[in-house]
Amino acid sequence: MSVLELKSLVGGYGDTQILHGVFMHVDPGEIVVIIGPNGAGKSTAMKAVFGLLNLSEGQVLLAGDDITNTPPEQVVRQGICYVPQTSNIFPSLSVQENLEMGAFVRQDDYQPRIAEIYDLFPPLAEKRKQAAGTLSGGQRQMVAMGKAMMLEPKILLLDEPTAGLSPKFRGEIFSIVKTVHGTGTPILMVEQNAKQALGIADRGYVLVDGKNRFEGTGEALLNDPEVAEMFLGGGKQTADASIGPGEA
Amino acid sequence: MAEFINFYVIPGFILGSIYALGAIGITLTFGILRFANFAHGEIMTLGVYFTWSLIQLTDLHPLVVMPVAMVLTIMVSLGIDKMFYKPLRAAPVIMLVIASFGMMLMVRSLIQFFWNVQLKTVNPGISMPIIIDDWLRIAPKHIWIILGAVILMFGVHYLLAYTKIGKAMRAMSDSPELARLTGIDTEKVVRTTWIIGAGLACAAGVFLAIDTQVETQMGFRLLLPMFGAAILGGVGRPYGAMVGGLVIGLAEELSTYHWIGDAALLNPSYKQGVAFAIMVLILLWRPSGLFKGKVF
Repeated sequence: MSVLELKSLVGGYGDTQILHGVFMHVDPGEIVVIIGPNGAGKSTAMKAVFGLLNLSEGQVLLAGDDITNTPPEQVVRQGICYVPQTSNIFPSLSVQENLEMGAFVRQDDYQPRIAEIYDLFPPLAEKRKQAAGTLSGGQRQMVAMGKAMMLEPKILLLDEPTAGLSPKFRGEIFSIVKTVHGTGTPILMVEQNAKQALGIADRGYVLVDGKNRFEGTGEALLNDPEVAEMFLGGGKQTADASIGPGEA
Repeated sequence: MAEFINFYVIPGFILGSIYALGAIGITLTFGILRFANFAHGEIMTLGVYFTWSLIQLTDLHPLVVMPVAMVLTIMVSLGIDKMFYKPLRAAPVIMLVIASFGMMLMVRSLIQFFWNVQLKTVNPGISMPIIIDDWLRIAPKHIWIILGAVILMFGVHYLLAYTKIGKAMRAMSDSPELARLTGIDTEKVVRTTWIIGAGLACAAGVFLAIDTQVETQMGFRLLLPMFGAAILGGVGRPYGAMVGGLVIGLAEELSTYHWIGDAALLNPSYKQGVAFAIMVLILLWRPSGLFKGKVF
């Protein structure tokens, strides 16, 4: 069974419809990447999973359970953690306190989990008492993901983790993503830097105008001339693609 | 020197600790609920009147009945939040500010209605100052005030630095949206904020009443210096509010010292203006305050 399944999602903000039928699924142990042009609804699809917008149609299934339109504070408890694109850490709290906040809903002893996160990201262990806002861009992402991992989520959602970072830093972020994935947590990630993202992905989806356009393994999408022209080589974004929408 | 310490520095510290306690509530409400709570001074006044009534009933010392008055004030504050502010939680911030302004007028009128506007006192009698080393004079009530303020501030520090809910308050002050996405119980954080704000406001009011007297405008008069302290320390920064309160209290008192010649540097009638001047200057030069607070 898929960890996460999105079935024919339709919705948006207020009267503005952004999603016009999005299908997706993430299987255990996968990294799945969503790419597409600006305004295609990539981040919106992810926010829909997390209950941040109202879906008028469609279903979100978490390990088979219907969680459609569940508010975020409940979704967290069900086992999905979401790392937003910006302001994804508490800057005035120390690294350790950020991790503790990540475990807010846990009632059991989460100290062993904090130790595991420090093992995963050794630079954080050295700076555990330091305010998270004073860390470097890469280390902030470690805090953001470490904080999300505190709940041992069934799946982790990452919204453009490399946004606004220089190419040198992007590599660092993708290796952090791989580290997190190495612990067995499935990841669904929205990315602008399609080439690098597809390089580490098991599968990818291309969204255009709020609909599925292409779908395939990371490698297949990288080698697809159509996808390459649209998103990878900076070619013209023509709308006359002959390949039909990918079926989930 | 003795005169400077006895009549300027000590009163400055006392006024400063009262401002500081009041400003903590203002800055926490500002940081966590994102609005300037104009009714904070009135909550303070209400706490004082609860204390006064409890003294009439029991004939005990104000500091003994103060905890009960704090509980009553906290209950009123939580009730106000539930009835008036909670329905506006998703509304634009200006609505909450205006609602708090209305609440200020309502609470003050109710106090005047129930307790009338006559001056009252909570002090059992005149106490002679303690004289240390032949020059340092300090009244016992002033020792109690400073001691009480220090204990309460350590309490706030402990809560914010070491407890789960205190850390969650700081987290929500950093980013309410991320707090929600993280699964932090934001309503519980909001309730705790009101509890601390109202409890400390009541204590600050009672300390002021012990130092001076009880009247229905006492909280309102403190609103400006408390906002000054919150802004000086940095909005949303409780430690900043503590420092800001002490700085403004000391600055107000020291501004009336005869630094040059024999006359007071600033006529004492104008010393309230010092808080306003500090607030304006800090907004012009360093809007984020001493502790890098939020800028709205």
